[in-house]
Amino acid sequence: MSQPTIDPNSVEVMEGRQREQLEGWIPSLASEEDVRQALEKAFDYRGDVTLTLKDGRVVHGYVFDRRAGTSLQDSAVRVMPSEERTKLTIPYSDIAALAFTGRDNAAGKTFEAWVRKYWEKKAAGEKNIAIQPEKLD
Amino acid sequence: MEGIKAAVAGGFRVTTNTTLFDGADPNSVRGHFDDLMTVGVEAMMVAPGYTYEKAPDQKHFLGRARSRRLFRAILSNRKKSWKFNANYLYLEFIMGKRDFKCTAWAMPTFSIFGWQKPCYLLQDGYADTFQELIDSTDWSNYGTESGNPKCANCMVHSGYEGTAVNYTFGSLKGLWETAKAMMNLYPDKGALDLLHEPVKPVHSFNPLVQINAQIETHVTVEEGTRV
Repeated sequence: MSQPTIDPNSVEVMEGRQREQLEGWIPSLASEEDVRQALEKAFDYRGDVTLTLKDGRVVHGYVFDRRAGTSLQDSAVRVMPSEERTKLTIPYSDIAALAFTGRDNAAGKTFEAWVRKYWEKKAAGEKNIAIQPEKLD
Repeated sequence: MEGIKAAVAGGFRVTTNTTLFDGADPNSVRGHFDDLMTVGVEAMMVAPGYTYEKAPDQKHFLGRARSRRLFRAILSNRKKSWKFNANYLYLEFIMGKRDFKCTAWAMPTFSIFGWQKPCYLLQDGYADTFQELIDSTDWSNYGTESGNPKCANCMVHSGYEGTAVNYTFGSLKGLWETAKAMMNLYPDKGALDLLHEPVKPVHSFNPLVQINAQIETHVTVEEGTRV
């Protein structure tokens, strides 16, 4: 691992990550590199995805792990299906299509968004302001 | 707080964990500690927040420099009534008084997905067994000293408190330093001055809602207190 260019002990505020808006995206899986990059993003995604396999099966669930090998045959994603508590291991080579169908559950829920809602309600004259969490389903 | 009071009244042993981000007012945090001790919390944990990549809010993570200043302000001039459920050398680490390297495997995380690689904070895949976690993770890739940018600002318990515990029990010197730390209230006039500095988060839509707390103006060093 290379040495950091900035001394972490001198950093005041750590910039977080700029996340892409992937909800609804259907990536092209035309090349091996396309497949690897798309499934890496599926692993990184904060919601469920839908995998269509080459044998016709459709798997909807959360990609919680990926194991990179030297080829698509020995690389795999591990998925927890949304309707069952099990773990599926699916080789990259078995995947025909990928779609980011699930909601990104964390998108837009920054602390600033919470504070903005609080002040909007206060400006509107609301009392006993409570910000209710959104339903996940 | 109502929940905490109810749990204490119900006979439960209650401990707390407080995670702090950019914009935290040290006076407010000190007042919060007073409140927790008053309502009967057995002991407290505290740590700077970590840059979770999947967190909704990506703008309020403390860097190490600011973390150390914040925790120096909070944990110096410590009140005897505060009880911490922490290794006291770890508290010195977050105050900037000592340096530790990460022991990433010190507090592993196990969930419905398995054993999280490499640690509680980073999510770089999962192992099905603890042995697989230990054997299949390249530990040299993690820790601030590794150069991994994902570890750059980390000062959290899961990697660093284990190191502190190892230090405590690794030698008589470690035991002695820990015992001294447990009796030290860290009188520090400079830290009192930090309590008077205005809180200026880098990113903020509006001022944060803070618990009203008195700003302390003096240090009382009790007779016999080690400094």
